[in-house]
Amino acid sequence: MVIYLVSDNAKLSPFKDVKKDKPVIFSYKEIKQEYQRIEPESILYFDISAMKEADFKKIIKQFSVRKDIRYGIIDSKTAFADIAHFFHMGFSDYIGKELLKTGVSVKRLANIENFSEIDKNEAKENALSLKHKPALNGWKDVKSGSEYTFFFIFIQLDNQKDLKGYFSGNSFHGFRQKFHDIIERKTKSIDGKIWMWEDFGGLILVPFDGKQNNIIEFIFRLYLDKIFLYADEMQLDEVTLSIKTVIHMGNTVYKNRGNTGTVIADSVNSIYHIGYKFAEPDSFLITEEVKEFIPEYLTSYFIEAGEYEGRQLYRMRKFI
Amino acid sequence: MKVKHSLLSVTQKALAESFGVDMMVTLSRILIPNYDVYQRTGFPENIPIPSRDAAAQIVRDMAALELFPIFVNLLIKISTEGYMGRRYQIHNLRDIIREMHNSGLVYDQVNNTFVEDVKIAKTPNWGVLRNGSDYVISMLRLDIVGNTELVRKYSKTVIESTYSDLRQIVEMASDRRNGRIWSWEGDGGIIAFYFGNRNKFATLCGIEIVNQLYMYNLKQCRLDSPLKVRIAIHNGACQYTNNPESLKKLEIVKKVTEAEANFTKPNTLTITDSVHLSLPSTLTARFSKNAFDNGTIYYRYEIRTEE
Repeated sequence: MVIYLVSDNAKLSPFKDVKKDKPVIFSYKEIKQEYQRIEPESILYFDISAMKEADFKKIIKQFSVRKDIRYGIIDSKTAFADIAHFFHMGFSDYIGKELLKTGVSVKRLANIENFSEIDKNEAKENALSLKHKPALNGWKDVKSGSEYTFFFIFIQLDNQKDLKGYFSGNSFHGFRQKFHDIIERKTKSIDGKIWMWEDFGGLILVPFDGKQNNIIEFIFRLYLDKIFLYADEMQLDEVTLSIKTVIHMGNTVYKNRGNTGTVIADSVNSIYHIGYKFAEPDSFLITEEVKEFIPEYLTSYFIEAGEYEGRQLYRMRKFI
Repeated sequence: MKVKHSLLSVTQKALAESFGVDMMVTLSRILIPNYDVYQRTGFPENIPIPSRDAAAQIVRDMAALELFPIFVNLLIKISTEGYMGRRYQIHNLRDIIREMHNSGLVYDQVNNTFVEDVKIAKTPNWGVLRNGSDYVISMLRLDIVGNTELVRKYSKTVIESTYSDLRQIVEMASDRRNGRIWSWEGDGGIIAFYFGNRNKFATLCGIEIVNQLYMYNLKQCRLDSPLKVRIAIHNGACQYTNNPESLKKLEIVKKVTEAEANFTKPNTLTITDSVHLSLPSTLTARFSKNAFDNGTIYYRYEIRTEE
């Protein structure tokens, strides 16, 4: 648990007993800019001794949106008579004048952690946001030339020989275009956009919006329902589709589609290498970076698939 | 089907401008044997009936006997194929088709017939099947496994919401392929497919229900164990009936019920030989063949993953 102290008093030292994890100290001014970067599941103490009531109210309003943090009050003058009022407002601790002399103990912090509940889901999502460069509003926030965290979906038809033999000339072109269009339409439901595309597949980007999302279930369903893709949507009577898919998560500078020639990103290289050189036909792989996004109800469907270029991979069990 | 005045009017005009009275009568007799336009109009037989009067009477009679969509199908067929080796140009045919659309019917190219537009209406007979007439139907039967035990074990709220979720899954899969639920009795039902590529549509519907239920059981089922259903599909001729009791007595219903109840594993789909025969290989490749002691052969779709 990270401890934060918000105070303009440099001499204030309530955590003498805490040897490990020294508190991070912010001034009143700094905290207004920093609140989004406060670690989830941490505790944030406000020194209200020198704070104006109006400023205190503003800060409380700003922080009330974060349900994944615990809050405490340091009142070095014991100026507030109604201490319970703070607890009614959702605070987890109150350090008055007398307690300040002895300092806040590690045991007390552990008790607070056990006693006061936070929103675990929000904590998980905020932890992810801090670790990455999310585009919180999806594509609305993504600008060409800036770096973001994306899910990369490599998708490719891998029974190309069968398909080439089945279709002729123009009809083959029409078939490939139809596959592209279906993938483009389907991926919209997960905020995905085709970024690069070759004859039989390409790379789809899904901006990471700081939340858990349903990208793995989406690809899982693509395999479960693949029969509808070829027999229903593409009206194929004699040839099926074999598809390999890889999902990876990482950062890249975003450039608009068609203008991606200068993109240099480890994430992009990695997913292409895995897709072309490692993934077996008709398989669905995810990298270790994506593993934490597997929904609980699908975890048993993924098995270790070995390492490639120093990265652990997991494969979905095939439908047979 | 209630035929609008504008549709009657344009069809009457088309008949009068395209055919003589004799040909109009010939066409009418294809649908109504022994049709007598003199008797219907009241004109004495020694006086020629004006084309417009004959056309008006025929169109009114077709509508009254609920034969109007079939009559329009006949006109379309004659305009494209001719009749007895002779070609006929039917005036205002486009206007008739447009008026049919305005009345909520769309033309089904596969079966060359009009069928109600599901966006406007959804009746069990697609607006065109007639009681007592024979049709070839693809029939899907679905049954919840262990319904009695489930009803005993769980509260009414849990059962009602679970069964309602299932019904929603079934309806979505069926509506997408122009199927019609002919019977639903809480723990299962019968869905019919008539238009389009009926066997393929019924099979895709069955597969969709199996797949959707698979995800439902993984994600949101409120029961302690997965909700299980058995699904079977059979294709054959049957006499259309809108009476639920008569429906149960149909041979096709007995056959599909037998396939479902005796030869289908939970959460799988069974199709009979007659359905399997007409499916493309991309679909049949997902079915395994099962021969039973009584000599019957069924084909099974199920979801399995590698170990």
